[in-house]
Amino acid sequence: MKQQSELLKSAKLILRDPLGLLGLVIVIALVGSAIFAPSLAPFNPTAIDMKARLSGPTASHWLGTDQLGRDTFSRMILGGRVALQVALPSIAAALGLGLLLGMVAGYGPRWLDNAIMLLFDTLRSFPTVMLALSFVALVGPSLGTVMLVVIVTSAPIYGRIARTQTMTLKSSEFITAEEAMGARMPRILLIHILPNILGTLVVLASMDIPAVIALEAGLSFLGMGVKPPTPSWGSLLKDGYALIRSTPWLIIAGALPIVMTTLGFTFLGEALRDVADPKLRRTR
Amino acid sequence: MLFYTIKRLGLAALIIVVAMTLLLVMVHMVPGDPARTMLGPRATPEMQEALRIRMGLDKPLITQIGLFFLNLLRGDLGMDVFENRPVATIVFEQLPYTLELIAAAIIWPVVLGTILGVYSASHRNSLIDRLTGVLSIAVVAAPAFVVSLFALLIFAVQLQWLPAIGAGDPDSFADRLRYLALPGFSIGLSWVGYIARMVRASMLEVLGEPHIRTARAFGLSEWRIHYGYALKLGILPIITMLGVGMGFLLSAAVFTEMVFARPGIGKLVIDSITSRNYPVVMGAVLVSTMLFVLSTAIADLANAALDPRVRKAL
Amino acid sequence: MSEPVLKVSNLSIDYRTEQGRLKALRNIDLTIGAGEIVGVVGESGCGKSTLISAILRLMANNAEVTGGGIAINGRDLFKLSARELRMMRGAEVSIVFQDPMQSHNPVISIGRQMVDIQFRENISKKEKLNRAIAMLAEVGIPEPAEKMKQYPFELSGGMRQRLAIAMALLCRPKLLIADEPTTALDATLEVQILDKLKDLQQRYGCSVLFVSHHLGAVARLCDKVAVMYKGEVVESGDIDTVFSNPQHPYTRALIECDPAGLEERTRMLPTIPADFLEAARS
Repeated sequence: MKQQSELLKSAKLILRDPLGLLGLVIVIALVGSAIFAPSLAPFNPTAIDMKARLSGPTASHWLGTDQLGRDTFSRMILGGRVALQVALPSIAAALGLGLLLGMVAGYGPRWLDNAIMLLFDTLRSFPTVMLALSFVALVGPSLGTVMLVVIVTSAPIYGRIARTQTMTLKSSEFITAEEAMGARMPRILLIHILPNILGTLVVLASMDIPAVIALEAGLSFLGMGVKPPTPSWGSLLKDGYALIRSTPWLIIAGALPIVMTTLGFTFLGEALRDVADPKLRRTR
Repeated sequence: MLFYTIKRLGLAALIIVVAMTLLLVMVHMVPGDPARTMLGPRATPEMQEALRIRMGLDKPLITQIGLFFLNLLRGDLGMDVFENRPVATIVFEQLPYTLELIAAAIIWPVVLGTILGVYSASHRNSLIDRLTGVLSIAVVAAPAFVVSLFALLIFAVQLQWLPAIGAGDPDSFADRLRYLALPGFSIGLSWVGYIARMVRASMLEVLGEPHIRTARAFGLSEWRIHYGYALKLGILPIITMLGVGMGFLLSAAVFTEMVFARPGIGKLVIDSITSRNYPVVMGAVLVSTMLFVLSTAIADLANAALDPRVRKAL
Repeated sequence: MSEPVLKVSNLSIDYRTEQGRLKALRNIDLTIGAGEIVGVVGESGCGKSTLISAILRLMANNAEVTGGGIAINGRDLFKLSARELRMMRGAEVSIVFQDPMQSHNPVISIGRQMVDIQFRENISKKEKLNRAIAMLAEVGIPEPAEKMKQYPFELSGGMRQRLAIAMALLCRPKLLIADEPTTALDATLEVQILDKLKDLQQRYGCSVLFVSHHLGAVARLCDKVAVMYKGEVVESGDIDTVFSNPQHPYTRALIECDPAGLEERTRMLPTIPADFLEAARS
C-alpha cells in the first residue's frame, strides 16, 4: 500500500511539471504509434506506386511520397517501430550488462575491479560511430549490428555508475550486518544492492534512448543500418538527401520524429530524475 | 607533474593496446573472414586463400596481434590491397580535413557557449539566460546529421548562400573557410547550448564560493570577478568535457562529411566499407580511436596544468 | 572628535524567507571613531554577519534594509552608486574573513591577487608588486618575494590569515573589519595574529571592527565593545566597564560561560539556554 501511494505521489509530481507532462505525452504517442503502426498507417509502407511518385502533401498522402511513390507518412509511422525495436532491447541489455559488471567491480576484489575498469575505459575509447562502422565492415549492415554497438558502448557508462554506488553501499551498516550473518556475494548484490541502485540507473538509461534512436537513424542514413525496403527514420533521410533538390518532405518526415522523440525522452527523464532525486533538480 | 604526465600517457597507450587487441580478436571471431568479404561471392577459394596470406590472416591470432603492434610501432598500418598503397598514407591524407572540420565545429561553440554561460550565470533569469536554457534543450534534440541536412537544404539548396559539397580550393584559406562554414555550423550548433549550460552550472557553483565574496569586498569589478577570477575555476570541468567530446565530434564528422561530400576520415571509412576495402576501414578506425584516447589524455593533462592545486600536488 | 569612520544608526534588516520575514537586525546603533578598536560579541546567529555584510553592502539577495542607515566617513552608504561602492570597498573599508582556507581564489597566484586589488593606484605593476612584498614582510610572512608566485593553498592556515590581513591593509583602509579572524586557528596562533593586528593597527592608524564570540580575544584587543543578542545591541561601552560591570543579563551570562574567564575548574561548562531572555525574565 505504501509503495502504491509513493508511486501515485511520483506520478502526480510528473503531471504537475508541464515539460514532464509534455514529455510523457510524446513518449506515449511514440510507443502507441509503434505498437499500432500497421493499423495506423494509411498505406502499406513498402507498396510502390509509380504514378504517385514524388508527390507533395495531399489529402491521401499527408506527407507526400518518395521516388517510388511510397507513402511518407506510413513510412514515418513504421519507422518509429524500428527505432524502438532497436533502442529498447539494446538499452535494456546494456543496462543489465553494466549493472552486472559494475556491481561485481564495486563489490568484488581489487584486481577484478581494476580489470573491469580497464575494460570499461577501453570500450569507451572508441568513437561510437567509428566502432559501429568497423562492425558493419565485418558483419555487414543490420539492426543487430547497431544493437551490438549500443550494448558495447553504453554498458561501461552504466557500469561505472553502478560501481560507484555499490562501493558507497558496500560500506554501509546494513551490508556489514548481512556479511556478518554470512550472506554471500550474489545474495548481497541481488537482494540488497540492486534494488537500491536500479531506480537511478533506469532513469539514466531511459534518457539515453533518444541517443540510440539517433544512432540507428544515422547509420540507416548512411546505408549502414536497416536494409531496404524496411522503413526507418534514417532511411527516410537517406532518400530525402538524394532528392534534396526536388522535395524537402522526406527530410522533414525523417527529422521531425527524431527531434520530437529526443525532446520527449529528455523532458520525461528530467522530470523523473527530479522526482527520484530532488537534490539533482535541474538548474535550467 | 612529469610523473603524472608519463602515467597518464602510459594509461592512454595501454588503453589503445587493449582496444586494438579487442578489435583484432573480434575480427578473428566473426563468422566468415575479411578475405571472402573483400573479394565478393564470385571469388574462387584459391583467390581468397591468396589474399588471406597477403593480409597475414593465415597466421595464428597471437602472431597476427604481435605483428600488428610491431608494424604499428613503425607507423605501418598495413597495405591497401586494392590500390597497393600503405593504409597509413591514405588515412593521413584524409586526416587533416577531418581535424580542420572538428576545429571549425568546436572553436566557435566554445567561445560563444562560454560567453553565454558566464552571462547566464551572472544574470540569472534574464532574457538571455532563459533563451540559452531553451536553446540548449531544443538544439541538443537534433543530432548533427539532422542539422547538417537542414543546413544543406536551407543555406545551400534553397538560399544558395554557401557551397553544398566539397572542401574548396586547398590553396585558398578563404575558400576553405567558406566550405567549412556549413559543416562547422552543423556540428557546432548543439555544442553551443550544451557548453553554455555546463559553464553556467559550473560558474554558479564557483560564484557561491567564499573567495568571490572576498574579491567583491576588495572592490574588484564584476567583469574581472566573472571573467577573470571565477571563470578560471569554472572553465576547468569544461576542459575535461571537451576531451570526452572528441568522440562525439569524430562521430558527428562522419555524418557531416557524407552530407556535404567533404573529404575526411569519415567519408574514407564509408567509401571503404562500400568498396569492401577492409584494411582501410580498420586503419581509419584505429587512427580515430587513437585520436580520441589521446585527446582525453591531453584534456586531463591540460586540466592538471591549469589547476595549480593539482599541478603542484603531482 | 572628528567625523566617525563608521556610524551605524538605527539599522534594521529583514530576510525574506519562504516562512515569512525574519528580523536579522533591529535598531542597531554602532559608532567607531578614528583609530578605535571596537569589538562586537555575540553567539552565532545573533546578526553579527548580517551587520558586516551590510557595512560592505554585500548582503544576501533576500536581505532588505527596513530602516536606519550606515555612514562611512560621513557618506551615506546606501546612496553610493555601484562605482562609488567599488571605490570604497578595499580602500576605505576592508575586511579579513573568518575562514582563511576558503577566502582566497585557489587558482590565482598571491602576487596577482595582491596586484589586482591595487587597481585604484596609479603606479606601475612592478611597484604594486613591491608594495605587496613589503606588506607580506610587514605581517610577518617569511620570504615574501617567493610567495608572489605561489598560491594561497600552499600556505598554512596561520600564514593565510596573515596574508588576508596583508591584503586588507594593502590599500590603507580607514576601517578594517575582522570577522572572527582567529576562530579557525589554534590558540597559540590566535595570540600571534591578535598581537600582529594590534601592532599594525597602531602603525597604520586605522580603526578596527573586531567581530568575535571569543571574549578573551575581544578583551585583549579592543577599546570598546558592543554585545549583540538576537539582532539587537543589548549593551555597549568601554571594554573595562562592560566586562567588569555588565548591566544586561545576557552579557553577564556570556561572561560566565566563557571558558577562559572561569574562575574555577568545573566539570560542567555553563551554557546559555536557547530562549535566554525568556528564561532570564521568568
